[in-house]
Amino acid sequence: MAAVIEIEGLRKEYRLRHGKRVNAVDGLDLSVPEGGVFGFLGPNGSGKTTTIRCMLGLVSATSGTTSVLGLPTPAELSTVIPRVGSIVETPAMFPTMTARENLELLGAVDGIGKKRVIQSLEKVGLGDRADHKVRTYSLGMRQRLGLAAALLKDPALLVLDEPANGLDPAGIREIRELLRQMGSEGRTVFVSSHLLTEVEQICDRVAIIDRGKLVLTGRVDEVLAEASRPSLLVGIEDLSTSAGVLQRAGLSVEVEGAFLRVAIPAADAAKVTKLLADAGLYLNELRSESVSLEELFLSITAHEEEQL
Amino acid sequence: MKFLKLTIVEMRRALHRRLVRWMIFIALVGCTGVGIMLFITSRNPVKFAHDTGHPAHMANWWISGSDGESFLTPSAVFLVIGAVICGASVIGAEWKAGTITTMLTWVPSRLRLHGARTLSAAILSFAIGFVLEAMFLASSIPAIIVHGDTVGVDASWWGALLLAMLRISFITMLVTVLAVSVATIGRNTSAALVALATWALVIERLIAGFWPKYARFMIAENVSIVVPWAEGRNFEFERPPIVALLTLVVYLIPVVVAATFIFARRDVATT
Repeated sequence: MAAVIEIEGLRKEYRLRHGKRVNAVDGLDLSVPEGGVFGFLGPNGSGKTTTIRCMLGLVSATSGTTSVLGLPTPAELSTVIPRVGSIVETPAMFPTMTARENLELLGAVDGIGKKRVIQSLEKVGLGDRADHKVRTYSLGMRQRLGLAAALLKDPALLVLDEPANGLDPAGIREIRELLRQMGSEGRTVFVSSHLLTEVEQICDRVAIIDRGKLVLTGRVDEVLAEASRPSLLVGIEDLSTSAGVLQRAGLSVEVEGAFLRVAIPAADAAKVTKLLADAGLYLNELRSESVSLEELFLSITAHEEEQL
Repeated sequence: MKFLKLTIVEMRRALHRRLVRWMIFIALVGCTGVGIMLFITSRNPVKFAHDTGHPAHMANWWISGSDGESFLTPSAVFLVIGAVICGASVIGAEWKAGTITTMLTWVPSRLRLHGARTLSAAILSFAIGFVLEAMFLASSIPAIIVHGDTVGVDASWWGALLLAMLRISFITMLVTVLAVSVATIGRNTSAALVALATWALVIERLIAGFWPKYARFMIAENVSIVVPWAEGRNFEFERPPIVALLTLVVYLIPVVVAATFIFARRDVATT
């Protein structure tokens, strides 16, 4: 699978006012394959937005290389940008213009017609507010307008920095559906977000960065499977007798509250139920223990706050 | 072709700025007020007959070779002030609102974007300056028709008036480009206005006051020579208008180059 975004050894150093230097991105390597939705996660200040800005030529990298759609950036940005729709942080539009005027103006730069403007606005649910001034829009509506602007180019790659910022639950759901649809249409959607539950639901692959470095990347299901301990939680009344039965069968068992944690893959759950039933013990509850993306994220990005 | 499209887009965006619209509106209200005042002051035939500089005597719109005595001349001061405010604001607001990031994700060539923005500001200020001058002059037409006269108005006078209007528009354009460039360097409207005001009202006046021989190089003095296209007889020096004009252009070039270089190189790290 070809990579639409390729980042190698990316480093961006900022000089602070008192002369100290800080690495916003510190030797980041990242490869984003073509198609689907790719989640780019990291805590605040981990370098997500700086990485996106480097990719799009808004800031210059201190060292390292970035390529987008197979072409090096920023050198080939003029060729790349017409095929990339993007939102960087809060999308900024011209407040005294209507949504339609805003998109028509942006479209005019690339020779995009008015019909596409309306299609983009309708796609994000702003069709009936197209002729309202942007200054009357809520944050969520501005976010959608930013997305409409990004879609206007009919891009092969969408780069979205926190696209769900300011959206209400219904709005988040709409954006989720929209991104899923974009991903299934053959485009690549590169989305950075804090909303890990959302990311888990829509992304095919994820990368987690922390302090400017890549910590983990891969398919969401693989990443979660790798992080999860293959275990079952068994809810049963007589914990000690049940633990003895299972241990005698060679299983590793721990008591955890009102449950037994049995180190066995979920696929082998029948073995546990049979052993207990044979001993005249009947369970109340049986569930596999899984790790959510949020738990995984928090566990790998948890560290002491450091003074810069 | 793409540059032309972008320039048109930038012009439309600049015209959408509320401040720009307000400034034009205020200028038009000012013109109307001047027109009413001129009509009233020209009503008294005795006073009017003695007021030889009154613009209801149409020839006073522009007196060739004069240093600031023509009716048109004060319009240059207001246009220059308006040009500085609007030029700085159009750029400063872009940085404040973060629309610069939006534009750069559509137009990755910073040189092209900056060029288009500067050119659009130059074209607009020239055109708006010219139209407002015409409106300013036109404000005295009712007074001319009812009470005034057109003695001395001939083809050569119209030619001289047109050239004077074009010169003032040109000065307005230069000042706008200067304001745009300084605001691009500072990424902020207030910073640009303070820098330009400090230069024009403090530094230049101090230099002209303490070292009069350098006054000939000051922006204000050179503008005062270019507008009437006269040798600057009101000053302690004489300076040909074409030299004054070139001086202004020479002032502008390094600022424009610096702004272009800085815009092309500096990170756009915040919205």
